Amino acid sequence: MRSTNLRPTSVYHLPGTIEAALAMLAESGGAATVLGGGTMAMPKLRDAAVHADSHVIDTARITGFGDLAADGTGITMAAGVSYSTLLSSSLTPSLLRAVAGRITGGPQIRNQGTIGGSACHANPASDIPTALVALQATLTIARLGSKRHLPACEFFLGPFCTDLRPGELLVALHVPATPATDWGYAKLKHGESSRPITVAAAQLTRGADDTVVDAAVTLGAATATPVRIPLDGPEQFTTARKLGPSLRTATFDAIHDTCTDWWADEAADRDYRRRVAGVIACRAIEDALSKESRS
Amino acid sequence: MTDLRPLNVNGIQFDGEYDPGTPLVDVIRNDIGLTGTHVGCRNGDCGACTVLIDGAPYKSCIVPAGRVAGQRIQTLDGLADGDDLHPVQQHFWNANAFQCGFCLAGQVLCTVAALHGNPAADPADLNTALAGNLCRCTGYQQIIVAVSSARAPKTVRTPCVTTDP
Repeated sequence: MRSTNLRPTSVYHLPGTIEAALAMLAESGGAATVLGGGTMAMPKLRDAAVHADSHVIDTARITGFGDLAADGTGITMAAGVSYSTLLSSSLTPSLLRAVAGRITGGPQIRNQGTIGGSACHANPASDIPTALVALQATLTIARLGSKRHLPACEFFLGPFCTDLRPGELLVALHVPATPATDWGYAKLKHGESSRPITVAAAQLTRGADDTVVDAAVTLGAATATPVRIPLDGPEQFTTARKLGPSLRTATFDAIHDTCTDWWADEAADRDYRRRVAGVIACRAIEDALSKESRS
Repeated sequence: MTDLRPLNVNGIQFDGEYDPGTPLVDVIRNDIGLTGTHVGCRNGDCGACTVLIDGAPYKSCIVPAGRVAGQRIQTLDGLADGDDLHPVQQHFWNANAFQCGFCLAGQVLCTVAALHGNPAADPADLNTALAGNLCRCTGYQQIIVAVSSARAPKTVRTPCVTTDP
């Protein structure tokens, strides 16, 4: 018996190099689906949501596409780095390690899903876009013959919408080194197999005398795109362990002053997300406060 | 598009034709004829289609078959040695850790992979290892009993568990 071909119009490619993938993308004239891990794109192909596409370009066998590297400026991850690699590599930024251990889908999805694929999917109700905006990552986007670099906050344009253009491939993500910074992460979801309703990444950076000199929380899943919110009066966090009423209120206010584009999906409506966002942000800040990196 | 790169399933090379862009589970079931790997949601949610690729669990409904040519693919069908069940299968049997059996491939293979990497995995590790598998019968209690007994094969074998509340 022959297998049921679910996509009779598509041709599957498995390039071994970035250059070969870019050449295939250029040749396809924009009518191609790129597979990162494929955890989101494969079901879409089945559903014929990309029926007009005639080429499927799978990046899974590109040499070096699953590697991390460190230099003086920070960590560079190839776009095909999986969640499992984020968990096992000693180079992984601590925030991404916390994120990778708690994604939805179990070890099978941690083995297959990739940081670049999740970024390009840009589902508001996911972890990676928020983490990349929080880390102020820079994305390297290639097309045949050229490259460009883009801050993560400019990459995510809207729900399931990025600045990636036809013929382009996200190839790498650079996370700058953040010395003296404690990271915290919190997320709200109501079932192990459901998607997050709110995720929050907190960043507390300490000065020479241990005073917190910069504080920010980046919110996602509650909003259509990740929003990084600097917090006024960072020194107030210097000796805090838990957030008292005034810091909680200030955090809630900062969020509600900054965020306008609340997200809604089958898990929660906009009003629910607006109400819980501050609570989850405070949990993320308290997680960062518990990191005890202060000397 | 036809491709002749062979797939290695349960130690046997499959040299037949298959579409490399087709989900691996369809090639395993329809072209190779092994039906221990089940098709549940086709979304990568339920885990019924789980196989091990080079020892690590993947949901084969979202893996293009051509991607894993040349790698070691292990399905539930090849786990037993003739009539002798794999130890993890035996623990599932002893604990009645299945009702309809539809999710069994994922539950068993994720346990096999987790214990292979960490034979002394604690209960929290094993919960994490099974988090990608849905049992629509909600038979999780017996699965946890089986997995907990599987992690300590040197101790007294867990007796057949009844349905006492």
